[in-house]
Amino acid sequence: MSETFDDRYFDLTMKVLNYAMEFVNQPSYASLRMTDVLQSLVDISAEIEGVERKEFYASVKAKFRDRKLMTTKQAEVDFLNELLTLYVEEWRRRK
Amino acid sequence: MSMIDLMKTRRSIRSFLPKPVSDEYMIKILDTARLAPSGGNRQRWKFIYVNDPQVLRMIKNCSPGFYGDAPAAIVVGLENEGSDPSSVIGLLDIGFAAENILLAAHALGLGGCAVGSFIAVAVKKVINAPDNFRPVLLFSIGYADKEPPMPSKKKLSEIVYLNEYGKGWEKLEEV
Repeated sequence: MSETFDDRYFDLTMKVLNYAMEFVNQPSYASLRMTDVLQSLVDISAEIEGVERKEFYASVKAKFRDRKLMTTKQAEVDFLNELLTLYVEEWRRRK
Repeated sequence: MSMIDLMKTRRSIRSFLPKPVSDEYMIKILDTARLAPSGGNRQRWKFIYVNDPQVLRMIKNCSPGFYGDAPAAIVVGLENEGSDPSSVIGLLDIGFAAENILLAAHALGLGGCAVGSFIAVAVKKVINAPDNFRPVLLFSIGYADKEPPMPSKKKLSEIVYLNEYGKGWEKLEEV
């Protein structure tokens, strides 16, 4: 369904975010690990040819930079929801 | 095809042809869902038909269990569920509607798959659903790319007892 590389990269990172959300209520570090993968993908996005949403990824990167220590599950859920909102707003803006 | 034959030949389809589904067919499918039984005839379900490729793309991003590039999808959920103790009935109602959706699609030469693996909060955001709506199931709908064989099913004699739990029914031995 996705056509451009930029869309495919956006979809990939959003899927990783959703995997992090899928595991958030499980008694393991799976969600945090997936969140770390997402952070790495966002960090390198500026260096990838074909990724066009520089401003968007910069805003996601800023969100990671401001992330507080995840001491509770609710804090994780809230953080992931904030990221989700950024993604859906970005998609809606370009739709 | 008889209803029994439809039930016996329906398969979960996870690979689709790049061929659109007509609105006429989708309306027929959704109408069979509307007519499904519901506890107390409460009909608390809502069906969101998705045919916009951009929305489908986002639904897929939020649904690890959504396989294949289906040209259409249906999000089914409950409205105003709240803390209603009978909410399990609402889930069962959606099960009835789900079977109607899948059988109607099959009767029209289409295929589909019920998807339970999705991130509800994300799907809600994508479809702009209100807080009082809970997505319960998604369906991919389209023309099957290939018909999978019947998956392994337990024998009737393994799951049906006569009069008492565990008591076999000799008539079922050969089924």
